[in-house]
Formats: sequence, C-alpha cells, structure tokens
Amino acid sequence: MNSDKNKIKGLFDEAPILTDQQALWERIEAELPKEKKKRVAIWWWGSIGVVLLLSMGVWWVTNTNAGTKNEASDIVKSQNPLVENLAVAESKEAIDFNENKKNELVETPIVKHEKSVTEKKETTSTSLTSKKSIAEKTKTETPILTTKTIADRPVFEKENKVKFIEIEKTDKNLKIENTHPLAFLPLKKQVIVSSQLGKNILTNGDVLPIRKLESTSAFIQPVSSEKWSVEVAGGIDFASRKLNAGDVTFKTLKSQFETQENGFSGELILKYQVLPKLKIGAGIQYQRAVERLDWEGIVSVNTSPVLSDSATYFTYQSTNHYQEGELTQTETTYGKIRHYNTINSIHIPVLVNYELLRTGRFSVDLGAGIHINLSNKARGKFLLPDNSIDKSNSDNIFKSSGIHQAMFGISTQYHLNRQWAILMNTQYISALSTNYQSTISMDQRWNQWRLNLGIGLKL
Amino acid sequence: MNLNKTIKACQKNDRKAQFALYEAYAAIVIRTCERYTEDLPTAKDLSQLTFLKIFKNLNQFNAQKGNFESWIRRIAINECLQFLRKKRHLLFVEHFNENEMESVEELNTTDIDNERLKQFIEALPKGYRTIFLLFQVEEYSHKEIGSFLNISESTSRSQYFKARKMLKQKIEDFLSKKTNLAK
Repeated sequence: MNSDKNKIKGLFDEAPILTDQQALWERIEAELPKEKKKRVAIWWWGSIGVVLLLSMGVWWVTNTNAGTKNEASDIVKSQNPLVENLAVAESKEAIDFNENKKNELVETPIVKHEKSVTEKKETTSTSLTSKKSIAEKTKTETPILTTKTIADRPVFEKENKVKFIEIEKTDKNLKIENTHPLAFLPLKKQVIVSSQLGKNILTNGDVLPIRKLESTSAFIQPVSSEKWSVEVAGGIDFASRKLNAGDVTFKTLKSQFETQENGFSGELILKYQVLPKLKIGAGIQYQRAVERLDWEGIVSVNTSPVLSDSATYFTYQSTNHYQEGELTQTETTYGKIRHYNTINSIHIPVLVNYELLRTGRFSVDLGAGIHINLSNKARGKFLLPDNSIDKSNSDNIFKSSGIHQAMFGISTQYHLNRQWAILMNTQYISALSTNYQSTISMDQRWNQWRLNLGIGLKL
Repeated sequence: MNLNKTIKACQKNDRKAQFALYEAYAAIVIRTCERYTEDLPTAKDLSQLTFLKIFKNLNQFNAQKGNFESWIRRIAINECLQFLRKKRHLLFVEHFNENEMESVEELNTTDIDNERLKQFIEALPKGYRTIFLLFQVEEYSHKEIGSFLNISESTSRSQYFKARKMLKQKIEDFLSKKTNLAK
C-alpha cells in the first residue's frame, strides 16, 4: 500500500504553471492593510523641527531683550519719577532703619541718585568703588537689614507694574526674597530697580555675597512685562472623524464610517509677543471625548437544522478550525451597531497668533498652528440595536496613536485690566495625516471643532 | 530568506517582506488549493484568501508546533474545505461498515500511467476525493481529518476506504479494457 501511496503523493507534488504570479500578488496586496507611510515620520520630524525653531526664536528674542535690561530699568525710572524718588526715600529709610550700618552706608552714593537719571553711569561707577568698602566693613558685624516698605506700596506696585523684593542681610550675605508672582521665571527677565543701582540681579531666594549687591533697597521689574502671557481655558469639543476601512473584513461591510464625538478639553498655553500684534505660543491640552460610531455589522447568527439525522454538517469557525456541530445552517443578520469609545488624548499645540482688531476692552486674535496628538487611548463598548451591550465585543479595544492636525481659530478676548482677560476660543482642528488603527482596522482622519472659555494672564 | 525575520517584518506590515513570503510559498499554496478545487482560477481565488489569512494570523504561528510550510498548507486546506462546504460539495454520511474495509486491497498503480491515475482521482466524488487527498497526499490521520471536517474518525476512515474502493474499481475497469483492446 505504501508504494501506491508514494506514487499518488508524487502525482500532486508538481506545482502548477503559474505565469501570472505577479497579478495574484497585486490582488493580495490590494486587500492587505495599507503600509504605514513614511509621511507620518516626516510629520513627526517636521513638528519637532517647528518646535525647535520656535524655541530658538523665543530664546533669541528674549536674549536680545536681556541685553537691554539696564536700559529697561532706566526707562522705568525715567518714565516713573516716582520710582526714583521713592526708591531714594526707601534707601534712606533702610539706612535709618539699620542704625548700626548708618556710618557704613553713608558711603553709598545716595546723593548722586537724587540727581537726574542722566547721571546714572557716574552713580554706578561710584557705587562700584564704594561697594568694596561696604563689604569689608560688614565682614566683622552681623547686622540684620530689612527693606522697609513704603506706605502705599501696593498702589505703587500696581501703578508701576513692579514688585518689591525683601532683602535680608546677614553677616556676609544678603538674602533676597522675591515676592513677585512670576518668581519662578528665570530672573534674567527681571531687573532690580533701586535708588542706587540699575543693575540686574540674577537670583531668586538665593544667597548673594554682599559685595555683589550694591543696595539694600530694591524692587524688581520684569523686563518682559506684557510680552509673556499664560492662557488657561477649558470648554466643549465637537469632533467628527472619517474612518476608512483598512481591512478586508470591514471593506466587505462598509467602506467608510462617519463618527461623532462630543467631549471637553482643557488647555494651558504660554504665549510670547514677538511683534506688537504677533504672538507665538505652545502649550498642552487634555481632551476627553466620547466617540459614537455607527456601522453595519453582524447583529445575530441563527442556526437551524437543515437535514435529517443521517448526515453531519460542519461549520467553519476560524482560520484553521472546524467546530463540531449538528446538522445546521447558519443565517447571519446584519444591522446597525453602535460603538462607543472613550477617548483620552493629550495635544501639544504650537501656534502663531495675530491680533486682528482691538477696540476698547475687546480684541480678536487669529490663530493658526499645528497640533501634535501624542496619545489617544480608548476603551470601547458595542451597543446592539436594542441598546443592549454586546459583552463579547465590549471593553476589548485599546488603541494608542499619534496624529498631526492643523489648527485654525479665532480668539476673542475681553480685557478686565492690563493683566487679566476673559477668553473665548473657537478652533477648527483638521487632520494633516491619516493614521491607521490596527486594532479596528481603520484609517482615520480626525477633524474637530472646539469652543473654549477661559482666562488669560499677562505676565 | 530568513524566515523568522521575514515573519516579524510581515507582522509589521512590511510590504517587501510580505512579497518575499508570498514568492516563497505561492507555489505550495496554489498547488494545495488546486488539489481540492476544479480549476486554476478558483485555486487562485482561494490562494488569495489563504495569503490574506496568513498575513493576518502570522502572530498565531508557533514554530514549536510545526513547521511554517505545514501551517500554511493547513490554512490553504481550510480555505478549500470552507469553499467546498459553501458549494455544498461536502456532505458526509455518518455510517460505517467494517466489511467495507476488509474488501479493500492494494491499488494496482504500476500498470497505469500517472496522468490517467490523476484523472481517476480527480474524477472521484468531491467528498471521497477530499478525504482521499487529505489522507493520502497531505498525510493527515483520520483523527485529524475528522476534526477538520467535523466528522468522526470512523466516518473519515469509511469515506477513505470507499474512495479507495471506487478508485480501485476504476483502475481495474481501465486495465481490463486495455487488455481486451490489446487482444
């Protein structure tokens, strides 16, 4: 029996002549999921490049400003004679307050500061010559020197957009306590303005050797005042996604799905004013939305007996498995299936804002930029036509993706005062690229509308 | 072709790797499909479905359970069986008579040319032919065939011996006619 078995096996081992192997491959390839396009990678690198360029731009602009800090402080002083006078007065008070230091501090060129601002250079140089003697004399003593506040300090601060800093002097050092609300920012952006110097002190809560400080009385003025702003906003989102079938299983059902999403989002955007009407910004957004997906799918599979007991019907179940069963036939019913996904996503927007108009307290900005949606995770559930949950399909979708979107929007602002504003942002965020969701075998393009309300704070 | 690397690349939807895999196994798949179908176009259609299933389920391939070619052949056979079932070509009677097995003797394949023998096998009823090929060519056991077709092992055995008996009868008829013509 083995001999005939070998002969018969040999009969079927010859391959058929296949002249159109390429044609068959093309048919197969057409049904395969689309290959991930390198364009996605290009977008990633492009986004990183834009972010780097913007960062460099901000760095360049801010450092250019940093070089003019002294000038800025001078301007503050010259524009606000009160600053000069009060600072001088405060300086005197400080000296009076610490009587132990009176003799030493007499050497500080207060008198010079009582002159005009134009004599500042001379003042500074005098200051520099005198600081050594101050440092030497303070070595031997352990005085406590605290800036004495002026009576109308809050009004003064508000009117002149400055903040006092507290200075505490120990034997060798002066501790500077910055009370400005933006003290967390690098103090390169801030300038010490005092009666005795117009010099920058790059510290916050740090301990400085006394020789580096030429005054015991000071307040700070952010150089970049009104250039930096922070916007915090939150609101509702309306989104739609176009999903194209990327898999043969879905293609046989329906080639495209429209989805609806409603949700909410919150954002924090930091903006920098490059030109009088132009701002650049970047930030972070969190979005949570519920996606509703309606599509045609298998609602039920009914089996019923078809033949007598003398025969067996077998049912193909999966790729390589036949399930035992009775003599039955199957009837598949297709119907509308509703699928809900809860989507949590984090966006990194990078944008440019242009002030279109400003009338009174109102202003309207036009914004455009890109969104990098770093993660997008969802857990889903299927609802059958009777709104019952299809437990076999629920909670089994977990997807993560990165997409790129272009944002275009209008921001209307009502300015409560020079610092605070109420915002209303309307944005349309459109997909720049299509990404493939392997778990649901879909290519998706994500477009959405966003309406946000929030507050803005100029720093 | 490094099979493991190619499989991994295919799982990442690498088109070049998928084509390499297709090129390497296309002949085997088409040959297998052709055995169970009536014509080459149908075999190609089934080969297409087979490869799509292969690419989709590559993560299920376990090298410890068998080699890749066997796995692919099995998918191809399943596709063919599914096709035949849809066409209602496969209905098996759950009936087994031990006497049938006793009556089967060795086939006389020495006096008959290959092409004629192949024609006789292909002319068998589809149910017989399917089980005959699964056992004789693919070398699956009756237990395995039973699980493929959702029939009992004894039914598979019975169908096989019926096929064999029919084939033997055809060969004998052919040889006797040949002998008579020679006379």
